[in-house]
Amino acid sequence: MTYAGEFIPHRADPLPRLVRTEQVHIRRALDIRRPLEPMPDDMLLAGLATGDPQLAVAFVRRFQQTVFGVALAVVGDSGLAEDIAQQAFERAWRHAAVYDPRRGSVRTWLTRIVHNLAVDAVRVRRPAPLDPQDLIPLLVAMTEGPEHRALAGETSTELRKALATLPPEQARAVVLAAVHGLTAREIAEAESIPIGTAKSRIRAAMAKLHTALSPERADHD
Amino acid sequence: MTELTCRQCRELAAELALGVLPGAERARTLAHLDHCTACRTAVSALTRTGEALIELLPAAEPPAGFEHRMMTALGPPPRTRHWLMPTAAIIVAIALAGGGWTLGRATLGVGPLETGAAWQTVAFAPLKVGEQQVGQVYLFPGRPAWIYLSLDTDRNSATGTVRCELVRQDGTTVPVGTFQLAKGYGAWGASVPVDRNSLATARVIDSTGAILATAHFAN
Repeated sequence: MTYAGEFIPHRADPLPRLVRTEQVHIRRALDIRRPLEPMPDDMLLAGLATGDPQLAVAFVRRFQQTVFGVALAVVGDSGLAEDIAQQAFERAWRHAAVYDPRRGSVRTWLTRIVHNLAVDAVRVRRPAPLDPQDLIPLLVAMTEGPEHRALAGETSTELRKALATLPPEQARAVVLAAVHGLTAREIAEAESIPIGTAKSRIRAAMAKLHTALSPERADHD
Repeated sequence: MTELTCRQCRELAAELALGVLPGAERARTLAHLDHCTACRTAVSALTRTGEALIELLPAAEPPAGFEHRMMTALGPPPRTRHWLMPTAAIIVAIALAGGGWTLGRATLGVGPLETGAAWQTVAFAPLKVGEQQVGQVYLFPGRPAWIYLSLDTDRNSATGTVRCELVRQDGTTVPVGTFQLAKGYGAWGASVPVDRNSLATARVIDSTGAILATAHFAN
């Protein structure tokens, strides 16, 4: 994996609202090129904690599409998604010291941060119940080819296939719960089904997805 | 509160793993997990599945200017925050402590310091010109090990390609790469074929062969 584009300056973006000293600092950080070897994610995160501006730029560039994509998928509003993405990066920057690589990759850790923030925001602001039919474009995006996704690996391929083969009502239930943070009761209301049915759909979907990820273990669960 | 059976717990495990189990059911399930390793393992596995599902969400290009706004939010660079230099080593050490490394002695002094203990530690040494500190070097343990350095010489004329060289305790030298300085400032990282125990010194050398800055690691 290479990150050849990370240190190419983005000269076209103006900085109209920043004070002059900030502009100087930021332009300096963006304009310096270094022949940096592709740095592992956890190394980049550790470097971010040192306050190095170039590593901060590299970290943001590496993950901004993933972070913004998660926020946008959950809240559905570009402005709010940007606020949440920014909060997620700030939180990652502040809490880099508590990142535990044993609990998952930096990408997973960051995704968890932004997803939690987005679900919290949408729980406060959700203006109207979600229409399950509105999920169709999102489900298509989650199950289509790897060129459209931030994560493309064997694990994601298997999971994507499993999600695509779920019965539609189970796929909707698991996405409403996992992505949008809806409880079984909220899903039952949105789908006009008994709460027990909503719980069963979530459970069945998760069992199938889990089996797709680790078939050898699922046999013993 | 009635104790859940393992079967009842497994029926709620998916919702718990996805973070959508309401208060009362959540409390009962957590109480069961407190003493049931098998159910805890099952919930952990489902949590990983839920996280993998979130990672399938499509990436999206943020609005123009996002990167600049982020850089502003994350604060000014180290040139204006030299106080960060010694504390940064501690922050990094704590970060790595979460990965199984242990945090040992950490001194807020200006000399070289070990930011961890035992056989895997983050090593830190200040980069100096004479007695003046102009940067820092971190050696991160691992296979391979990684070095990260930054320097800020306040010499605007110092621009161009410089190289980094490590010196082992037996005096042998190991060239580890080149990077760019721009108006005296540069930062760089790379994997290195040197372990912490044999490392004595890191040097930054300019295109004429002159040593710009040196960092001595404590042994």
